[in-house]
Amino acid sequence: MCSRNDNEDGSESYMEAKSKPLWSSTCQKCSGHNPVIQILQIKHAYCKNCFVTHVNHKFRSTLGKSKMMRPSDVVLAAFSGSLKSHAMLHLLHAGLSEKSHKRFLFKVQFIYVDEGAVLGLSLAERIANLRAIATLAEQYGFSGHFTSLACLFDSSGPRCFPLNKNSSLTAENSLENELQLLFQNIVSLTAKEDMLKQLRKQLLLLAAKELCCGKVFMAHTSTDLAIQILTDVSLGRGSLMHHDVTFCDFRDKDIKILRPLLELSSKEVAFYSVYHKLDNVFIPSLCTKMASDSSIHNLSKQFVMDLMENFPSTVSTVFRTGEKLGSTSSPDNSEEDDNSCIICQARLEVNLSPCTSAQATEFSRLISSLGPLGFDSKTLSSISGSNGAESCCSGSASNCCCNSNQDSPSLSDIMECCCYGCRLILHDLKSVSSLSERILEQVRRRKSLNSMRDSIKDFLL
Amino acid sequence: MTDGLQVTLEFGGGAELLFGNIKKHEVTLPVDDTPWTIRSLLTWMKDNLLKERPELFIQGDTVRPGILVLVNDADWELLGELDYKIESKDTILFISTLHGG
Repeated sequence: MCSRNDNEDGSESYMEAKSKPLWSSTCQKCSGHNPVIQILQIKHAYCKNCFVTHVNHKFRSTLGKSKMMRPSDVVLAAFSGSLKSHAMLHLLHAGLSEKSHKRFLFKVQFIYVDEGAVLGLSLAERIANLRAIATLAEQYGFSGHFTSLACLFDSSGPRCFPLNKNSSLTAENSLENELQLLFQNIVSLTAKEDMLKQLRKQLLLLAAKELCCGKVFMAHTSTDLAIQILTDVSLGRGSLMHHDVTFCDFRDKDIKILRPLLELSSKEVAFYSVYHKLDNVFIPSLCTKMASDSSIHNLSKQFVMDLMENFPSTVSTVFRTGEKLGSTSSPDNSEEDDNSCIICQARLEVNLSPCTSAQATEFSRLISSLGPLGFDSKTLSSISGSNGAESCCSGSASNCCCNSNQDSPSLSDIMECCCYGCRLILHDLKSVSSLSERILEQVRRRKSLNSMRDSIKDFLL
Repeated sequence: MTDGLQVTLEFGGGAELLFGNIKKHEVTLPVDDTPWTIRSLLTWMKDNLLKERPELFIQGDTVRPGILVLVNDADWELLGELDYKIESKDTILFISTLHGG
């Protein structure tokens, strides 16, 4: 009765599927040429020229509206060889060329992230991919770099290497093995995909730092982001969603991740690349050729795409709604970095109000894992005082856990330094020790900091 | 010249993976009493060209949502979708938008 969709007689009515509009035989914009594509929620038919202008305009206006680009900026474009990222490079190139009306003044570099080790490709295949990518991007004259996911496990040494047609990849075996072990240890495809996404993002941020680029461009379209929104909500990342789906991700203090294609749909980008005859290097990823129910990401993709068939406004509805959803918690004011998730760098909700769904889930997990006989009066007290309960230093301090720095941290230690979404990845991880040394190191540091804080808190005024 | 209908089928964005990783197929469709439409072409492709996992390309009698169809560089939605009558020398491009993110 409160719903808009209810009829007066009480029966519910559903939104109607799209009806076929009648097409005029000319472009609705210039009325000169035959239309070739229908866009904007299939209400408009454009000709080729008007369409290409439209895409260009959307791309430039997205960057312009944000008011974030400065002439001195150096941008690092993430380039995977896919149609989307190729279209992004092409758009950037067009915007930078002399003949463009209001030329972009920032500088552009691009980077290719080699994920071959995770995808199970041979070294020869990976080098072939690398060179194909170099050939593809050569025409634009941007300075190119490449990096490999395994570099994330390397605490020292350069991560980025110049990319050209003769670039070659040397697989650092120990690091590669570490990376492969990590992915072998993750049980579900959903967690694997999520982990890969987080690692890729981390690596891009590190690479941008190394190359002194203040901004990273990623080629997500509005369709991708609508899918991402539903995936994020299902994966327990709802509170962090606005970072993942809006124009700018400012979780990192120095480097911003921007998504200049977010006003364009996948269809528009695909047509753009067809009309410019942009080739692509197709590298099958984890979920390629998998059944649609193999992971949450694939499922949301299927859901959005199926809905789009009959309800062409699905993507924009989901996407615009997601854009408006922000976290209610106060903006980031803590400069200390021990307040962020060690895997995805999101701010941790430290001071939770007494009744949150996260606690309910934690409680339910605790009860279920204890079994019918394990539950007694002490169980509840241990969660209510979650921080104080683990007073491991109370006994003899010499062989206490917070002094033995070399021990590998336990699962619960790591969990404490992660956001809810990343905890779910860890749940699907068979062995904690396969996490990268950098992460484990951070956990150890935070743990000893925390225990230090605990031990001195009585002396503080 | 054979008396069939000559068309060029192209694949992009990952759809080529299901067709033996070949991006361009020149095919001759056999002569039939009824004119060839995209609908009948899809059935023919499923029987003759598709190498694996047909459910990733075809759903019901149409292409899987997320795969775009372009006939001579134009959106098939403007041409009547499944009922478009294929003409000789047409180029039909199937482009998947489902990969990546």
